[in-house]
Amino acid sequence: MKSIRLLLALLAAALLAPSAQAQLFRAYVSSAGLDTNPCTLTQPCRLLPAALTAVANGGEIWMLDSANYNTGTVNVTKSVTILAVPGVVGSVVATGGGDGIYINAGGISVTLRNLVIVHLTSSVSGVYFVLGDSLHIEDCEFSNMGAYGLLAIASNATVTVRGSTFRGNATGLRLNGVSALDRVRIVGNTLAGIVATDGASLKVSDSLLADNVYNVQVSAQGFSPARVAIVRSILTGGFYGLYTFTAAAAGVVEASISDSNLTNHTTAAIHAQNFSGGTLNVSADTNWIAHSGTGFGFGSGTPTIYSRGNNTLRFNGTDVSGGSLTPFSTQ
Amino acid sequence: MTLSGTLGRTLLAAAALFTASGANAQVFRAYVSSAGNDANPCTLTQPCRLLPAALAAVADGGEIWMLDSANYNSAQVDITKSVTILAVPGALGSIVATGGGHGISINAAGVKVALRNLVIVHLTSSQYGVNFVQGAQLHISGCEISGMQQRGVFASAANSTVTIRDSVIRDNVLYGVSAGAGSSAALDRVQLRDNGSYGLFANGAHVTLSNSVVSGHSYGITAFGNASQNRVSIEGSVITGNTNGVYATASGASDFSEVTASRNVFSHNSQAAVQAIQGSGNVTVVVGANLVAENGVGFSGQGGATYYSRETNTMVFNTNDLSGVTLTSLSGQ
Repeated sequence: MKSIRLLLALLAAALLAPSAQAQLFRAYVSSAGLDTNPCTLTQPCRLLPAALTAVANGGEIWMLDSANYNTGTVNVTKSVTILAVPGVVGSVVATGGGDGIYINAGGISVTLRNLVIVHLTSSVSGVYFVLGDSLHIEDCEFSNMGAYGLLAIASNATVTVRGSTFRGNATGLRLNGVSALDRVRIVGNTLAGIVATDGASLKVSDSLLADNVYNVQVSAQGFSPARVAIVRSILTGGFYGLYTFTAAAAGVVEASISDSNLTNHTTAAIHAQNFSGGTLNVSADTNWIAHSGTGFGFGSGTPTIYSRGNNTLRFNGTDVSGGSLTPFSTQ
Repeated sequence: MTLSGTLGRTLLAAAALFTASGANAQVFRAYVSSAGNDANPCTLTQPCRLLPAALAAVADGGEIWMLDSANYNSAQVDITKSVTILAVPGALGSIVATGGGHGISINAAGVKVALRNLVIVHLTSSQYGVNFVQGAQLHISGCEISGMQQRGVFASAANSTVTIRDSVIRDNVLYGVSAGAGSSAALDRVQLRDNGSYGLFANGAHVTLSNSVVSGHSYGITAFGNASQNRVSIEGSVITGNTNGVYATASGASDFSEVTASRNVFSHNSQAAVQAIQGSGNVTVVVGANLVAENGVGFSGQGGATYYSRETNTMVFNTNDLSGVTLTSLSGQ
């Protein structure tokens, strides 16, 4: 009983702390808020930096109505969930040649939900994840960034993205850690949809990649292997569907793609190339590959493309070019 | 707590960025609401009422937010700059196509336009819901486009990219979505329903349709090779209750229509699940891993149209599984 009372007292203290110094479990921002307020529900703040100061480590920031909530790069250095309540647009701009949200502190876990992160005048990345333990993105939109919608380079970190859109950025996402993308729409990014590099362990499922010049690009320079699995996804338009390469003799790339549909790639639906030696294995299972310059393209350095022999290829300039598929069996 | 110098500057910057009050300065975000006034500067605190005022106020590459449920135009909305137009979630952002015009017409080289969470409906007399005449990209998500006297979406912009996702396009009289002139269109999780003649119509286009439903048309998905070349891929979709589920033609000698259909369900299409009519050109259809049931004919062809099968199609309860065609087995690779 005593401990429950203590717990309730602590909870009350955490949730209702009225003083400017005590940190809140929930901090609130609204279009009518003021940054001199304590960021409570009845006295919300206006912009994210004030709310981030007010919120306790591990807490939440709620955007209460449709508005923009920053004026410069938002620096996140504690574990926090930032969300717009359902029914509103919670906007963050990347402007002044900076990033929208910059996450940079060891061990923190950050969740972004129902946010719209857009380029204004001059931007680098929508979200730049430099250091931290995990980043979870749900139902967000990233558009028109100068460099990346999401740039995640934090080592030994986990990134998940669910139900979000990356549109019209130079590159949609650049990832080099453990990442999972589910039901993500990545369209019209002028350089690449997804770039996965050394250290990447990436799974992409049930997603649409359309008209990115490189829909998915996987590469390794020899620091650590890059591994990507793509399942049940649509890759269409642009020069390449899945473009894999190693850039050094020590580079290792392992990519698999299954149950996916790859069409209308000017150069190749799937391309593998060892520029300077290296180890490159691609496996393909039950894909449909059509209307592309090449279906499976082998570049230099004898990469290996394994096939279950159950991929359907038609209407390509060449189905298989520059090498031969290596069969592998069910077990 | 006092306002620090930095915070004060930040707030001033915020005010400058988001509440620009000069009538001439263009805003990154322009706002419209049911209580707005077109004499306003289209800011959050002083929103405009209709889209034309907001389009004049917004900067190239900016956004227009519809803040509450209302209709936001009185005549065709002409877009000549890159812009995202959205209704905030929970609000119904309506646009009418009326006076014999289109709902939205997009016509300027290189522009990128995104439409999100909009409802575009026919009022009295209309042509198209969205007419994409010229531009680089059009992205439609979470929209409903219905009742047009001609077409729901007409994408004729040359060399353009069109994506449509999570949207319903229904009850338009002639066409649901038509794509032509070298446009590249990807439709994902779209419902095309009861558009009188054509659900999805490709005439010189590259089209991918996935995870979608196509029902209640004379021609569900058409690759119309008439002075044009079409590349159509249909993946993971349900094509049901049309007269013809897929209809592919190639009239002239240089025309072709190439269609792949994988992992779909074709059912209750009264004439044929897939109808391939080859004239002087080439019609080629590749089918695999489809369930084809309760259709008049499963796979039908005329004029020497070619069918390839991966032999993993399940065909049951069709009046005839095949008519006028033989399936050429295609090996996996």
